[in-house]
Amino acid sequence: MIVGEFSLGAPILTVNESGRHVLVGSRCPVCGDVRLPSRTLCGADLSECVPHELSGEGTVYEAVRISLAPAGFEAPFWIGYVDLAEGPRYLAQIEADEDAPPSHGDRVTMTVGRLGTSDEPMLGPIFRKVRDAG
Amino acid sequence: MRRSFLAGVGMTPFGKFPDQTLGSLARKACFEALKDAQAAPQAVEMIACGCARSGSLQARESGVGQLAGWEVGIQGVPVYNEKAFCASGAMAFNVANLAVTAGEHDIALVIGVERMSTRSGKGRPLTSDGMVLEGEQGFTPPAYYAMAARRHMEVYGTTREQLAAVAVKNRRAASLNPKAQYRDPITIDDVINSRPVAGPLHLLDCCPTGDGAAAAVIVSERGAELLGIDPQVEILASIVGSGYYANQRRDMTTFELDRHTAKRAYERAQVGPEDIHVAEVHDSFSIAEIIHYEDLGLCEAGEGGKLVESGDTSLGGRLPVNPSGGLLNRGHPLGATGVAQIVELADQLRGRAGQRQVPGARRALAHISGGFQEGDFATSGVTILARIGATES
Repeated sequence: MIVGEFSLGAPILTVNESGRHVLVGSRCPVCGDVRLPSRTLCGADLSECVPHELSGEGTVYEAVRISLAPAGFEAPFWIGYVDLAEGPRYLAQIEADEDAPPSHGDRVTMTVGRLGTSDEPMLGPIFRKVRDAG
Repeated sequence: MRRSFLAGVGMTPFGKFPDQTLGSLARKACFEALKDAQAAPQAVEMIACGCARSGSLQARESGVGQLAGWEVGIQGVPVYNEKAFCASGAMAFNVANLAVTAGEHDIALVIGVERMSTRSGKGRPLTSDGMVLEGEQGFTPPAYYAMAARRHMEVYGTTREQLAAVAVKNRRAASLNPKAQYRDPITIDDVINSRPVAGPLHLLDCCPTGDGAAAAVIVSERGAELLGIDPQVEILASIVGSGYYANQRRDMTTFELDRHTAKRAYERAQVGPEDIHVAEVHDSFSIAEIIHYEDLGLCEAGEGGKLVESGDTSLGGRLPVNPSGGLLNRGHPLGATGVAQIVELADQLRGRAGQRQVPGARRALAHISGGFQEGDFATSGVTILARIGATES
C-alpha cells in the first residue's frame, strides 16, 4: 500500500521506528518555520529545510460538511483546516458524527485512512476530534 | 508612464454552447471589440490572451491567443498567453496595459476565452489547478469559500439570508443582461432550498461553469489618433499580485492579497473607494462578494452582510455591484471573466448598459481573484476605469 504520497512525489506521512504513522513536514534550521507539505528552501531566508516529524495534534481552524462531493469521493464528509501544534495549517478530512460536527477550536488528533481518487489504495492523514476527558 | 484608454469592447453571450469552440468564441468577441474600436486587424500591434484551463479541458495548452488572432486576421504580432486561474483575463488585460502605458505598443487586443461545458466530470465541483494534494483529500473551491463563510458567520454574525441576498441581487441584475447565463429571478428561499454543496453554501450560492469570450482594445493617445477615434474610457489602474504565504494562520474572514491589490490600485488611480460609482466584484460564491466588499474598502470589516442586505449594492442603490449579474449569473468561463468585467464597466461608463445602466456612472472598479497556493489565493487583480473628464470632477 502506498503511504501518504498522493501526487506530490514526496510523502507527507511515514512510518516511524516504533511502527506508528507520523506526519513529516519540514523545518527551517535558521528561523524555525515549520511547513507541511515540506518546503525544500525556506520562504523567509532560503535556508535548506530539514525533515521534521509532527505530533499530529492540532485544533480545527474551520471545517465544513461536504454534501456535493468532487468526482471520486462519497458525500457527505467533513473537511477542514487544522492548525497543527508545530505551526502549519493543514487541510484534511475530519471524522465526525453527524450530531457532533467539528467546529472552530475543537482539538483533533491524526489517524490514517484511505484517501484519494485513484484506484490504488492510499493511506493519508485524517483527523478526529479528541474526546474531552470524562 | 503614458495614459491608456479603452477603445472598444465586445463579448459573446455566456452559457453552455456545445457547438462553439475556443476559436469561434474568441472570434465573435474579438470581432465585436475591433468593430467597436474601429480597428482593422492590421492595426493591432499585440495580443494578450487569458485562458485558464484550455489544456486540461480542451486539449489546447499553448497558443490560444495565436488562435484568436488567426480567427480575426491578426498576424506577425507578439502574443502573450496568460494562465492565472479565474484571473487569467485580468492578467491578460494587465499585460496589454503594461505594454501600452510603457510605450511599447499603441494598440493592443485583450481576449479572455474559456470552454468548459464539454469537460469531463460534469455535475461535480471543478477542482482547482495546483491543488493536487488538497484535491486528493476532497478539496474544492466551494469548500474553501464555505470555510470562509462559516468563519465570517461565526465572527461577525453574518447570516445565511445575507449570503443568499448576494445571489438574489445579482440574479435580478442578470435578468436585465441579455448575455447572462442565468436570467430567471430567484428568491432568498430558492437559494436556501437549493441543493447543499459545502457548509452553508448551496447550489445557487455557487457560480456555474460555462463557455464564453470577451475582448477589449487598449490604446495610447497615439493609438487613438491612429484609429481616428475619441476614447471615452481611461484606464486609471490595472494592478495584479500573487499570494502571501509567510503567515500560515490566515484569518479567513478577510483576504490579505485583495487588500494589497486594492490599496495599490487606489493609490495608482488616485481615487478612493468612496469615488467608485459601479463595480464588478469576484462573486464565485455568494460569501466572496461579501468579503470582497470589505477588502475593497466599500464597507468596514464585518459589515459586508449588512451592506448587501441594505440594498446599497443593488441596481438603483448607492454603489451597484455586479450589474452584469456577476460570476454567479452572467457566468464564469474562467479566462473570459476578467475581460467580461471590463466589458460591462466600459458599457456602464459609456452609458450603453441598457436597462441595467447605473445613471451617471463615472468611475468603475473591477476585482477578481483566482487560484490557490498553500491556503492563500494565487492571484488577485483590481482595475479602475474612469469616463474621460471624470478625473477632474
